[in-house]
Amino acid sequence: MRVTTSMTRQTMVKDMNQNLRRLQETQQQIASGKRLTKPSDDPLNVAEAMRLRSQTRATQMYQRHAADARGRLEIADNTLNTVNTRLIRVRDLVLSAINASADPGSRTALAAEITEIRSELLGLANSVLQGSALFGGTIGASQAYDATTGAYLGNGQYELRRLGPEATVEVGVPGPDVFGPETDNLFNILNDLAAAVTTNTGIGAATARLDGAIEQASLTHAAIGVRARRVDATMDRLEVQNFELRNALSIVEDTDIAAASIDFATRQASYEASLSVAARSLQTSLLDYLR
Amino acid sequence: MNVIRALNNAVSSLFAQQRRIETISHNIANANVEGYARQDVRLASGTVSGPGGWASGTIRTGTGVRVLGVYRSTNEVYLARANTAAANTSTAASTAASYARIEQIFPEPSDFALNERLGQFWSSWSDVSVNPEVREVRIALLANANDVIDTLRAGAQQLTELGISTRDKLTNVVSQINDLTGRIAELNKNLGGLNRGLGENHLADERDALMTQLAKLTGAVSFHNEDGSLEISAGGRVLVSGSARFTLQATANSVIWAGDGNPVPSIGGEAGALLDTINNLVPRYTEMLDNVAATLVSDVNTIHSAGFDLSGTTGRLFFDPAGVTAATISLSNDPVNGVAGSPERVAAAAGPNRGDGTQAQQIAELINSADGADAEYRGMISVLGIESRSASRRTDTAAAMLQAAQITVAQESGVSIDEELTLMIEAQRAYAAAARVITVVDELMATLIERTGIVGR
Repeated sequence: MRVTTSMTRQTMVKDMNQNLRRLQETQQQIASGKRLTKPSDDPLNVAEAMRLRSQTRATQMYQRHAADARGRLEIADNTLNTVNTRLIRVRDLVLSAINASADPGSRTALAAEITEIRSELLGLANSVLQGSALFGGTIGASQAYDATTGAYLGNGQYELRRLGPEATVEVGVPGPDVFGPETDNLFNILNDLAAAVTTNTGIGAATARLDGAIEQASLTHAAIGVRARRVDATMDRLEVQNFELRNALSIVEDTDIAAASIDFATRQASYEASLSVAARSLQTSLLDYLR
Repeated sequence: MNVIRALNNAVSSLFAQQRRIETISHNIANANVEGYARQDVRLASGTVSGPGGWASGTIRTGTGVRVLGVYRSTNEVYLARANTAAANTSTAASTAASYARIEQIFPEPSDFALNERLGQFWSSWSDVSVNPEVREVRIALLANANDVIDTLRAGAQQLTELGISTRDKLTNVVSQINDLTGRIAELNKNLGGLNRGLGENHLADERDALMTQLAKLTGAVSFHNEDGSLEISAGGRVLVSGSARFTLQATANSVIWAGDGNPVPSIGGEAGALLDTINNLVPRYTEMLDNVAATLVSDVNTIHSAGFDLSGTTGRLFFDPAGVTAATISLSNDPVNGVAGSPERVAAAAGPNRGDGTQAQQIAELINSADGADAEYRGMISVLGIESRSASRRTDTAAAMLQAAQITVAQESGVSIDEELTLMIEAQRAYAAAARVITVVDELMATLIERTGIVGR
């Protein structure tokens, strides 16, 4: 085979270029920290990276929902704590009223306190969170109960938060769940109770209705606690899921620095070798030996 | 013995060796010229002399050396193979360049491209579902929707621009083709009919170089006619024959014969790749992007129009239902039901309750949809990645084959300095020997002239 000058040059230039290109690829991967910068770098893994990015976003979406749900349930829980304390106080007041039946003056005072507590509870029932009534269902207005009559203005729907593709949690508490059905809600009962205490008639019947209302409120309170624990558990799970997704994305998308460094060293060695061989072999010719 | 004949023989050798040294120096001078084919002086022994002098009887001796001609060392088969390889390489490289451009239009995975924009869009639906009554959240949703729209439109726009710039390039390539065929036809006129080996080698070099360029642009093939002219055909029809050539013309989506307007079938080379970009790549990827836009519009609108807005009205339009391509997608501008500029019309609720975000949540869930816009776009990017990678691999393979073919050509036609120097030493020695022969003949003649006629003196 004849070996000609242009042949040697072509081959050497091409091989050197190829070595340099490979070296640059690795160098770029290390410098950018990314293994994937365009779809053709690794088509299947690029699609996988995009899917993982969407999943991460969905998980973060659920995390925000869970945090919001946690906040709402916590506020409902605190409010119901206060409601319970106040109702127990009313129960005490009623007991005092039964014992102090002889004294109309003290009964009036007790009835006044019951009325006071009623308006405090009405205030709590109208708690507002981010512009909408906490106990108004999905009505979205700033008031759940009429401030004087105590009539329910909201609806009976539960506000829902999605915690996963298939999982939802009820974060809203429609007023009737806490304060009793509209036919006989807590505010009516307290009104009747105050009247009964003042007149000292029918206290027993009104107290029985009050006990029913107290039971209703604490049932709902317990249910909220259960939901809050479920949200907590979900938050922990989402946290782990988010971490795992990020980890998976990093494996797919990021440069494995250790492996890339070894590649870089290997490719650099072969590039340098090709340069050194080219420099030496292109220098020599028959001319060196002709006088 | 004929002394004068010996002198002539020696002189023929001097001339022949001079020719060789001239050619060798020409080869060395052109060692690095692209497309130069090494030249070779072909020698033959001289014709036999007529009957010689008294002593030779019927025996004849040779009459020195003859120069047959200066020939190029080329191999037509090797050249044709190299041209085909060059055409394939240029097709592959041009296609790969188009794919690279499309990949730049859709630079996934990244924090700025469509996948991420869609993610932000779904995310802001989820924000609306949590706080359906907060106006700012609704405004942010519309802004993110506009980002998605802008990204889709920019993608469609850049694909269209790729088509336009490719068309410009094709026009340019076709005029180069016509220029090349014109020049080759001209050279055919000068070269055809002439005997080879008479020193018109530089024209033949030029014609071969032009042919290689033409092959790169069209994938045209060639062969040499009896008379030494180069006959070229493209897509099964004659492009250049002798000094006649046929011009081509570029249209919006094909290359046609300027003479009769018929398309050139299966044109290769760069022109073939450009046509493929215009007729296949750009429309195909535009369609895929359009499908993403259409899916997005129909998925969102279906859920949205069933929902209720802040005023408890249903039937609101989110995207303009008429804009179902990537180039035309927009928020609905409908004066009664459109959400563009009216964030309060975004239907977040499943019923006429302001505080309900169920419908918005349902739209946000589309991020997980297995046949939604995200999934469709991911599919498109996968296809792009796979096709682009195989295009660049084809380029590598074609380049390797081209290099092999070029090495074969260089083996045959290239100049080896070492070889030329060796030949030069050989020629130099032969020249010196011929000069010595002249000295000897000179002495022989001197013997005759100086020593004869002096007998007895």
